[in-house]
Amino acid sequence: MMGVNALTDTKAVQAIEVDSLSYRYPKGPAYSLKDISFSVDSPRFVAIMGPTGSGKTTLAMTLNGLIPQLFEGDLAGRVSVMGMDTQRFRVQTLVSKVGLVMQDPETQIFGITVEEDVAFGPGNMGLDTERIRKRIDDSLRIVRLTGYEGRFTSQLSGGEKQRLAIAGILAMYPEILVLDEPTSELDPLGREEIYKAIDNLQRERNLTILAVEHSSEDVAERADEVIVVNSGAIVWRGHPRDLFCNVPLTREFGIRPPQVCEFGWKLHELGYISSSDVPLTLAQARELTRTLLKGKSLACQGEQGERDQLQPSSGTRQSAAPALQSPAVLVEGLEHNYGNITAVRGVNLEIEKGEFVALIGQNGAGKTTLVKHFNNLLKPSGGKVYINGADTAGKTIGSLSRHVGYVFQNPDHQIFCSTVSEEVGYGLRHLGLSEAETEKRVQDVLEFVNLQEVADRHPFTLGKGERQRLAVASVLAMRPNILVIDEPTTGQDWIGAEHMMGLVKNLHESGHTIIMITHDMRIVAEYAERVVVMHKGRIVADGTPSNVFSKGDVLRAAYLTPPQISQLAAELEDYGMPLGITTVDEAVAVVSRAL
Amino acid sequence: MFLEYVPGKSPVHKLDVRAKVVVFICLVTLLFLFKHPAYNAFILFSVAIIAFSARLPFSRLWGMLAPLVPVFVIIMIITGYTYPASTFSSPFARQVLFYSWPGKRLPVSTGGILYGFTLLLRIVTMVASSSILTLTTPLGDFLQLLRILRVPYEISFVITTGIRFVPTMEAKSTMVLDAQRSRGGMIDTGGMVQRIKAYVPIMVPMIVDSIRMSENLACAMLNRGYGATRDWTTLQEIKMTLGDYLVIAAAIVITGIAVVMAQHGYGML
Repeated sequence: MMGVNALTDTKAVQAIEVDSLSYRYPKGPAYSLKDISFSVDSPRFVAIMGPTGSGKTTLAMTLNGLIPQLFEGDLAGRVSVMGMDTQRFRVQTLVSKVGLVMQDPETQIFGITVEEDVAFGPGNMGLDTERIRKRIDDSLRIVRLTGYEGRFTSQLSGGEKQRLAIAGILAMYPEILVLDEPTSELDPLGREEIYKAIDNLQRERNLTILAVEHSSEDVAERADEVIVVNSGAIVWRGHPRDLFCNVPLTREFGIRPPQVCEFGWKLHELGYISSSDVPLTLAQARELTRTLLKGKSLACQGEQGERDQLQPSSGTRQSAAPALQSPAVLVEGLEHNYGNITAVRGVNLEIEKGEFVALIGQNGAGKTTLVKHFNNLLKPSGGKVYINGADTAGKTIGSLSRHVGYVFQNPDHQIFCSTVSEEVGYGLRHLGLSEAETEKRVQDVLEFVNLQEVADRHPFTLGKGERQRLAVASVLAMRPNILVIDEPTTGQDWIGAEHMMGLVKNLHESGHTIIMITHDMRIVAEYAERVVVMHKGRIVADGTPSNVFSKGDVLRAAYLTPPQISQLAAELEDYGMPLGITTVDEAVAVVSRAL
Repeated sequence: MFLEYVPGKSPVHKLDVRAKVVVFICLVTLLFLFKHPAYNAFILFSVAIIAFSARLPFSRLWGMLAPLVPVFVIIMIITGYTYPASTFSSPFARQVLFYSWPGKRLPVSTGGILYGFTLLLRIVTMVASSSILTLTTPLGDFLQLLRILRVPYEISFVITTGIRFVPTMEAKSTMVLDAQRSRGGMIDTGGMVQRIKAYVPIMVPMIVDSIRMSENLACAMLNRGYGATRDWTTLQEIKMTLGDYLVIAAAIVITGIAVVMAQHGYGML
């Protein structure tokens, strides 16, 4: 079979053909896919978008026969890939035509070393060692993991694991690649590497790629086509520009458009440009704004001056809070070593009560290590940490939980009770409160996060967003005044992220000090009052979002990319565009003032 | 344990896994042939030379042995008391060293102490030699060995996947533990029963997560064509060299000689 040219008779055959496909999971309450029909001819990049729970993953699993071969249930209609009916050929046969990379790379890695893992698929196909070797070299090169062959898979970073998962599938030499949210859990550098790999693939292998992706900015840059799925049905299909540049349409689908599209749409609404001029990519937005501004000056000196008053960096920062109060968090010369690896080196940080701080940096920069010292999950190797003025040394995690609440990223790593209210009361049981007081606190907290209606339900019957609020509630029950929130929006769609951030904002407004770790720079720009950038265990920048996002060189060195609109502003600096623009509205205001 | 592999280029590393397993079995046989600590000390010395030639980190070997030290002490004491002089044949071993209770009660014999040493040397030698085996042999070689022994692929797949997920599960349990402690859960306090009860909040999320992971794993296995063919290719084929045959031959000859020696009363107490 090997060596048969893909061109033999596939020219006439569509890469993917889905014909009136409906599917319901066994015991599923409703159909997850409803009468879906579409076809894709090779080779293209097709993005599948839509809110969480709309059936994107289910659709991806029908494409290589996992549904209905592994997951049974009711399936109607027909799916064929490269002319092969997915109900007639085994998954193991289809994998050499269509490769599926799922969301969680952890469960897709089988080898103990990188090369053993890549060899797993071709080994299963019974290829000889020489061919397997070639496929390993080839696949690792495309995902830029050459040189990692002998490394232990357990020691790779999240982004490297994701790339290895892709390499493992590429080694099967599929003609179609289906990626289910390949970048949703990654830091900005990890994302960029994944997209470099995908771009490499398109260039070298001429593959058809279908990617489920939330990031409209990445989709806008490279997709040939977007399919929008909602409630199990295809609601829209077409070129990305016809979707993203029509901002009201994206709203309707619950998709967040790229910032430059929002920017363009607002200029269109103000009557400066026609709807067909709304830019899709950063480059188009730059050209558009340059043309608009030709011969005009962006006179906004006042604002510029205001923004240029850089706040002094960490430690000496002044805050609105009364000087008498001790800071919520005071870190002095903190060092932390894991074995002989130094994760945090010489960090000084002062966070006043009531601040909203975003902590950003690539994975492994030391963010999580730093915040784990705030409630003694980690003990300093050197230096001191003071919470509300008191040294954390010698304190238990339990006693600190009344001052610092730590909300972890994955709510499922802590839910274990059989009702929602029991779950919230877990930490309270150790406080020695009266029954009535415990009851009251649980009630209060459930009301705050808007879960009072489901107090008696089993937590696992709740949706992802509700479970996440439950995790927040179980931390809030201890009444901490400082909240550490680790990646609250990771892996969520726009609506989910907005809900979660609404809750975080409420918490901040009710007086909590918020320390949020995130990779989403738009969230940082929209919600945080202060941004702390970490790189290689050190704090490399500290200031307001507009201050930090205008430091292009510092961010680049820390492998971070500012929000798209800040990038646009930076590229228009020679037109007098002030640095430090962080939101679309600011950019629109500045430009429209000049017009 | 299999993840302990330390890559290296020493003669021990290069030896075929089959030769290493034969040598290991011979070593264990030798240990149990002789009762006299001097003989076992000589075997341990030989193993130490092997460990040294493999350039293994002695600190790691010590790390494995250190927790066993209390056990060693207890073994010495117990054998000292429990092996009465009459169980030994040589007059030297039959000597009573001292009585630990007035009126010639609870005697401690020379033989008992010596035999205690022997047991100790046996444990140390076995721990050391099995560590040398696992530290110098990659998992792939062990899997090849299973293949040669006609163990089905499914079993070696389960072993690999099991080992592969040890670090993953460790990381998960740390995450769960951190999450529960951060919301005021008391995990490390209280008595025995309380502690066991306190582990429910750790175990439930772990089990739920494991179920989810196993479902994903099943998908991922199919995505990689698991079960596509009955025949399965491994990356490396292990090959026996002349050196390997010589080592196996030497090990068997030495063990044979030792059996004859033991039958003639050498190394007994």
